[in-house]
Amino acid sequence: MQNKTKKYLAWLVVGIINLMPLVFWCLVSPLNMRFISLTATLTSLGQIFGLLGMSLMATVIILGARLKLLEKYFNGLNRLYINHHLLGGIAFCLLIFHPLWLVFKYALISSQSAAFFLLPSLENIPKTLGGVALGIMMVLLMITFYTAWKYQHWKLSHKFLGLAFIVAFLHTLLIPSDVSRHLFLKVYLGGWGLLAIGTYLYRTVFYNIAVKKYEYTVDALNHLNRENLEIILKPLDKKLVFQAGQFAFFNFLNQSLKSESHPFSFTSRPDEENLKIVVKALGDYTIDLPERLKNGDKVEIEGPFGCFGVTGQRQIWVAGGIGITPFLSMAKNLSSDRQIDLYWSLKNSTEIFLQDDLQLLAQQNSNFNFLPVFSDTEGFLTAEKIKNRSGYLSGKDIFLCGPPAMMKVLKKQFMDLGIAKNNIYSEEFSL
Amino acid sequence: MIKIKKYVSGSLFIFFVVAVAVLTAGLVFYDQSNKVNNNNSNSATVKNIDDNTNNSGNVFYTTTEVAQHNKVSDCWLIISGQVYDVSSYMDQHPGLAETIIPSCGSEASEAFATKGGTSKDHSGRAYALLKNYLIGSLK
Repeated sequence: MQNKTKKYLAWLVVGIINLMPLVFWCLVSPLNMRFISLTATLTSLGQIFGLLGMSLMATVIILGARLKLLEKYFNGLNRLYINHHLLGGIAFCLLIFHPLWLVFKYALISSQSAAFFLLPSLENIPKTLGGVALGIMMVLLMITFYTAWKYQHWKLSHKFLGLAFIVAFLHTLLIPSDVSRHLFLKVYLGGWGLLAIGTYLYRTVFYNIAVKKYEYTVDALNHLNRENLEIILKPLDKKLVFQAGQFAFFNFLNQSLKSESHPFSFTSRPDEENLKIVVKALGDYTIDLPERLKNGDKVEIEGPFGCFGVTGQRQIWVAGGIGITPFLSMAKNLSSDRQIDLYWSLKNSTEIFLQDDLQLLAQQNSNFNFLPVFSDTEGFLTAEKIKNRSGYLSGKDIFLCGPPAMMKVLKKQFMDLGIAKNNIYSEEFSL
Repeated sequence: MIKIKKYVSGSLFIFFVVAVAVLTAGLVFYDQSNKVNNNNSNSATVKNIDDNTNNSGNVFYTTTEVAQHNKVSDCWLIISGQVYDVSSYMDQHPGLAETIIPSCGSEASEAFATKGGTSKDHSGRAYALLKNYLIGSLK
């Protein structure tokens, strides 16, 4: 069972923080006056959407900052990013409607005054700042939602949303409104906004000096087969301590490699001196790695992250392709009382690697079953097939790690078979 | 993930439709009202909006008469010797009705030119909008 208490607590805190300005807004003026006429109602809607949107946007920035503390409460970095995306979309919608309600209000007077409200002007800097912030947000979020930019290019563009927030922050404090007229709102939104800006700067401008990274060097490189490379890393200074199933972001410092950081799961046991990862040549970064990475190259590691931990007594592990990696570490770290069936879906036997350890483990431990499935000969792995081979599914925790499409399909199949969502653990690496 | 994208797309669509509609309508009427102003410069009606004269026709009010209209539902202002009935504008004022109320029925030139003592004048557009509420001059 996932740690529900932490999750509920996290959402409760998020809810309270974001609703507080609204509660205050309701208290400072008689509510009936706020909605007494169409004009007053439209004004109030504009204010409500502005307060909520602003507060939520600050929350979204903090959620996107890869903070270890938050990861604990949201049950994993992947879930943190999923919520960042969801709340980000909601905040964006709120902020789009914030000026729209006011446009409608002015349209009641005349189309001219509505048009004048929409147009930026140097005579009303606070209003124009809001327009600039929203404009930047629209451009950058349309890139996020509607384009298929290369990941690193998209990531860079997305970072500029922090600038949009800073401009919006100035707009919020300068524009004549309930915020400027009440010290509590000024302090509350000002403080929350500054916290978000600080988090943003920590993650961007001060990344090199503020974010903790471990320094390792490449000790050995094993080409396991044509596509998979095992990288063994030795610590230069402090050793990174992790739990089986976790991952970290690796930035290999090599002239011929792009300076990017990518997430990889640890395949080594937590108590080993060296760190091991296995990389599959899947994208435009990893494809270069096998040829260009050399022994002695330095790597900066940010982590560990991940809540893919071992929970219940009886488990089913389902790996697809390179998704075996977290399970390699988890298998080596197993206590003998847990009953585990590990399914590994591959095209055919040429794709398999590091299976000796797993086969040995299966021989030594009667509670551990290693079941590779080759789709070329046996067809694709399905929840039904797993149920038949494992005997039954109910009461078991199911862990999924593999290509996004495979995880999505399997998750649905398991749920169709009656498995509760809470019993299915998956680590998504893309939204 | 797909769910939120639908709402984002919908919101953006509405925004751009409304923005285009409002800007088009606003520009059309702006053009028209400019032409109307140029044609009506000889008219002697009270609501004549002419940039270059202080004269607003032939209706005059005394300060005593203006002082009777000092409520939020019936509010007159004296600005630069002209009298304005801003009763129907009260709840549309960006600074809310409360900022106008203290001046209702009395001299409001300084309050208008400094936004109630903040030493910031109203925009050119506000001055243009004010002219719509002109009802006469101070005697």
